[in-house]
Amino acid sequence: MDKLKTIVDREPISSESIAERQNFNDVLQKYKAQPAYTGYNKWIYGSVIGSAVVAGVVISTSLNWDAEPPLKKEAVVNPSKKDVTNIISAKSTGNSIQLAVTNTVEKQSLKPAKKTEAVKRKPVLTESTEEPVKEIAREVEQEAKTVEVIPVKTEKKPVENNMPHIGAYYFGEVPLNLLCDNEKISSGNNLAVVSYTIAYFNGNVEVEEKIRGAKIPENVCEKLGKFNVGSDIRITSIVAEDRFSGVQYQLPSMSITPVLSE
Amino acid sequence: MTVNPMYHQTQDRLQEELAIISQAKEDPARFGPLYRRYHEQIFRYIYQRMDDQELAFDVTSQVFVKAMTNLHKYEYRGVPFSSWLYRIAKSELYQAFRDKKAQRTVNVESMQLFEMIEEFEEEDNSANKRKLLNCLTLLKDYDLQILEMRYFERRSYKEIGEILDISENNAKVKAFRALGRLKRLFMKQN
Repeated sequence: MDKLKTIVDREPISSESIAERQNFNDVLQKYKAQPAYTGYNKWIYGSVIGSAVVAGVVISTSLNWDAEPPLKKEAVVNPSKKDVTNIISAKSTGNSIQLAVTNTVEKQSLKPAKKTEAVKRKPVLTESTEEPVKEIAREVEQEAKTVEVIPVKTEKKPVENNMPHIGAYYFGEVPLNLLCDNEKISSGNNLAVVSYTIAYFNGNVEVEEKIRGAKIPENVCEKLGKFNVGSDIRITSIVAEDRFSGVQYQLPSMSITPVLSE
Repeated sequence: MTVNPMYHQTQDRLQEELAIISQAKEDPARFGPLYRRYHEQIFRYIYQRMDDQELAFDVTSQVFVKAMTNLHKYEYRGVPFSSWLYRIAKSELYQAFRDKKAQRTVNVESMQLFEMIEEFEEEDNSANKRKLLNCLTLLKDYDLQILEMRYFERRSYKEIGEILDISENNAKVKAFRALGRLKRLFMKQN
């Protein structure tokens, strides 16, 4: 932006002369002259539909890329785990594989092959082949190897080793009760905070106080609750001491916003 | 310091305003009462920040066209409708600056300069006034906006907070910090 222009004691404009310039009809005309609002424009629709199509193609390709097309004269069996176990045990005890398969087929009712079942990779049994048995055995092994996916919690950011924090909050909104409820400014790596400076609004002016220790004093807490809820508070010059070596370090500053509840 | 009493409205008035907005969402011709109620406020806000009176009227008109166009997006948040209009006005104003149609201007009265110099505990003379004007041009835009609203337009912290979409306390803190920065700039020039 260009340099500012300053004007001192400009002649004031009266309310009457402003009122004279009111012209709602003109505004209405300009409004009507604008293209009508049609929700999202065609570009947005186009890109959304396009992305959906691409995503659909990618997903279906990834599901089908290793699926074999079902044979016309084939039967599908849905063996239970017990049968599969029998098959494997039969295999391990040295019985012939062909015999095991015959037993399994006798126990199961034969179903005609369906397209959807082919996608789900149900084992396909064809006449005089050992492939299905191997495949079932492979699937059982894979099932045993399957690892349950544990969802990752994303609510709280992990605290870095030397970052100062108050109850795992190191920036942004911090509940006031946590700040004032015996919670200290802490840090990892065996560091203990020995002093810091806090800047806040005390009701009249903004003040900076040097505090010894890691706790927020009661009088400061009171001011934070009264005048600083929803405002930025800066905690700077945080000095921490190594518990073992006694060496002091200055830690990064914190910028927090006290809020009434979590 | 006296503040602009125009902004604060009773709950009844806010509800009445909300009813007009609902009607205007259905039929834009019903926007008239809102236009007439807020035209002067929005014009003064724009004219305070630029020097060209005609352009200020044009931008004001554009603000209301934009407001009518985007009225379907408006959501009531318990604050006067004007706070939403001010935000549109700010956006249109800065668009005019970017398009080089207007120059960012700060309009002050001698009395307001005097009050500020008095707050800095300095002598009120023409040299200090010149220096203060110069310091205002050196401030960051956000600081200038807050000081302008607080000291030159005499708006309450509640109103400033609602226009800038921050809390009242935060507006107070930011105003004190901005004044502090202005004071430091002023003292540096001594």
